[in-house]
Amino acid sequence: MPAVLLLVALILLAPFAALAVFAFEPQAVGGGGSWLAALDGTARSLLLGAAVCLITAALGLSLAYVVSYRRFWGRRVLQKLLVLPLLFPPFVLANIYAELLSPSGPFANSFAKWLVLPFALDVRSAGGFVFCMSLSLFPYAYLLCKMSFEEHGSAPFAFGQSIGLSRRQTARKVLLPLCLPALLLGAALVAMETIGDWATASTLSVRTASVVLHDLWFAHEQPHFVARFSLLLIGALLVLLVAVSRRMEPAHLRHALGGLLRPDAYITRLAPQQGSRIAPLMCLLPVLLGFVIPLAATLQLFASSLSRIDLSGLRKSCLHTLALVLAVGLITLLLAIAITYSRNGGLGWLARLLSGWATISYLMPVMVLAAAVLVLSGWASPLSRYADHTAFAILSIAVALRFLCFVLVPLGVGLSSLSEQLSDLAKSLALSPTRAFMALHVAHLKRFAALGLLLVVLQTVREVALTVWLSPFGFEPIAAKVYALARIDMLAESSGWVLALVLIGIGPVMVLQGVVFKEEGSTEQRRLSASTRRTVAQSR
Amino acid sequence: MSDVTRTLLFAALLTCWGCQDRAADKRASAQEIRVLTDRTASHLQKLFDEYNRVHGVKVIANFVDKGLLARLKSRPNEADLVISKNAYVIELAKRRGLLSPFVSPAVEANVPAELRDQERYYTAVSYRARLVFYAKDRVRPSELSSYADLAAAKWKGRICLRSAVHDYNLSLFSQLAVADGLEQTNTLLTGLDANLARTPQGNDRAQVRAIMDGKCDLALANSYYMGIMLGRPDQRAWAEASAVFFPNQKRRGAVIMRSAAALTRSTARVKEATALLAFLTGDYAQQYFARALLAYPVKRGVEIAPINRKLGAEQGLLNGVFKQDIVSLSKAADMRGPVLEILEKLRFDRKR
Repeated sequence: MPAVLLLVALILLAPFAALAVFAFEPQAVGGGGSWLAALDGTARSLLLGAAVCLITAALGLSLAYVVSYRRFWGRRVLQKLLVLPLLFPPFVLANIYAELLSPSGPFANSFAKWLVLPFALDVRSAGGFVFCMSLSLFPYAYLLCKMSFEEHGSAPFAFGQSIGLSRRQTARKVLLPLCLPALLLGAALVAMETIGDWATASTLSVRTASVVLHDLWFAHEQPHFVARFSLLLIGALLVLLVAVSRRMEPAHLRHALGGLLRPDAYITRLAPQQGSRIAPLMCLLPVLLGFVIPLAATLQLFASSLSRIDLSGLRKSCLHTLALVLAVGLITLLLAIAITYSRNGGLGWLARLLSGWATISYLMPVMVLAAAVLVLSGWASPLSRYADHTAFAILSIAVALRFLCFVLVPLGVGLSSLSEQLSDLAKSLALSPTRAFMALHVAHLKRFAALGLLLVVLQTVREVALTVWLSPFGFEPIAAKVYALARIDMLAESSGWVLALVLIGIGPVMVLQGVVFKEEGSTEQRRLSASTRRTVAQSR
Repeated sequence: MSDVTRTLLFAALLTCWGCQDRAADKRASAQEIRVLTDRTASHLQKLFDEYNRVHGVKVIANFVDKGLLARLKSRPNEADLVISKNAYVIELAKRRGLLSPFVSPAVEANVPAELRDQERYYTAVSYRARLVFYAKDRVRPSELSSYADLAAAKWKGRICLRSAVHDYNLSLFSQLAVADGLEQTNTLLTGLDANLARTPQGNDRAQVRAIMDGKCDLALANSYYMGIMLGRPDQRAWAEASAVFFPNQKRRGAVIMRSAAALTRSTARVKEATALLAFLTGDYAQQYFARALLAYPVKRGVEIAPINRKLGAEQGLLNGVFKQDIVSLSKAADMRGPVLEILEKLRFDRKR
């Protein structure tokens, strides 16, 4: 196991070691202007990350609360529809809304004449960026809060009632603290995605850290400056991570993903009360803005430009997307297993360091990761001539490094929840380590790994930045194709590809719904099935 | 059937469907040329398909967005040929030692000497002019004259521009720095900075659209966009709101942006890559560049697109013939650093 962990450490740290060596090569770097631009971009990224984080946390929490504890018409359908905005990557939403809300677009031509708005609806702005990111990412916060509520069931309200609290007081004083770890995890995920983003910011001309560093590297030709600034940024992120991890106990994460631990909890819906009529509207609005309107706009573009849409490379792009998803999924799973199972071994400190590093890899602007990989792959390039397979492996590893924490966190939580009794049980049954792993660990951890892998799949399907910069020859996944067409104003031509992207995402989203949402039978049936299980357990 | 099984089945079906294509690819041709380019797939792929059809050599291209040079530096041995929408990038690649010279009588016969590198490292394959687009209903062509005039106070808050560090603008400003001197370029950039109507954003077409939307009256964009937008039902209105002006016609001429191609340093297929280079400067490709992409051909005798013949009629140009300022790319590359310094000092791309 130590050898495996050392290999994992090499994979995770080698690009950044290369970046560090590159940064200290004796080269002149940019002057004050570059520093100012990079710091300005970083500050903007942090501010926008905070804004998106707050909005998605508020939206995710309130939606999860409403669909979990309220009774209203269409609740069962709406709670599943709320995941659908995940199907549209934020940069696609940015293109669609920039078109819809442009001064010569359909909104201005139809509605804006009758509406007097106190502000200009300019999507190509920081506000537009926050809007698109929030709309596409709020399902993460929503899903995690929903899982947390599923875990607690109706118990918080029963408890609140017993000590004389009103519903509102119970929600604020009992339920909110209980789901706080889940909410924080969801919000952190969204903030990290926002800070790392490049495609949406570049589409909307918002100069975030990724966009500025990209320009400094590619336009100003200052790779050494970018490398040095990246190292500083990584240092700052390390300090931040250490500070946060001191306050964050493993139990918090276990709490955040508790819904996966107790799949048999059930919820008694609260009776309708005043104000419940707005609940369907409240749930419908994000679905409309994040899924229905973008889908309708895409379908309209597709239908009106059929003759111009060339889908001849669709097969190949589907294959490329799937190949990348499979490779990234496999790599993240293997890396996560190696790190998670090494935490209690002799090199536990290294495993914990690598866990933290995986979080930093997701939090850093994607350009920093790309820069590190570009430097390392530059050094490796003399090893092979055309190196398509090497280039694909490099791209897959880079994407896996970015999304590793998606699998690492749930897997770590799952493993920490495995009681020592299970090991004792394995010993008493004289199971070999392999059989014990397959029979006990795999059975217990599969829900955790599945959740993580599903998120990795969804993120990889939407990934653009690393693919655009690092792709092998002739390799063009669907998201990259959509980005390439949209950036030259061929929105109509990109519509068919957007629809393909949505179709490919439907599978993972459906499975995600299956993992998070339990089948809801009647309360009576649930009680019966729970009591049956108890009886069976007692008889054993 | 569970959701997981359904998804796996769906993924397996998609993989099989994709694999059919891959198998077909493998059967297609054993010979191949690998091209790294920052031009768009929709522009070049048809040309590469034609080359494959006629010569039986498959062209596998990697279409990068920005960062062609960074990619070439990072992986210098993955391509045989490099094509850039901006010859200036190719000149920089030559300086970094990433290219190898070629010998091709066909290229020399097709391309005038002023559009080829004197040391035979690269050749232009087409070009376009960087023009001023103006609002037909708000600006008269007589009010316009040169690039330097865009710094005049009368244009305050009336100009739209994409990012100043985009290759198109960097190339324009660097060429102007060669032609007019760095001091004059500094004056131009300072004036432009003061005259912008909004934060530099979007691409060239977005600037022309902004003119239609009334956000500005002038924009800088490449000549072919007028024809491209007129040919698209969804963008025709953008183009119809504007007209183009060829600056500097009474002086050195309008600045042109050359698209160029070169052999990479590490290509092992020199003969095949040179043949593709010759094809790109030959009749078929030149007509394709002129008719389909609405660029100006480098080969003499190839006619420009009918739509390009009408450009500049408002300012009195006949048949779209305009005076061109062919600046040495080597000198322009020297000016890149100083121009970037000016832009950085001005924080040109800052939010407005």
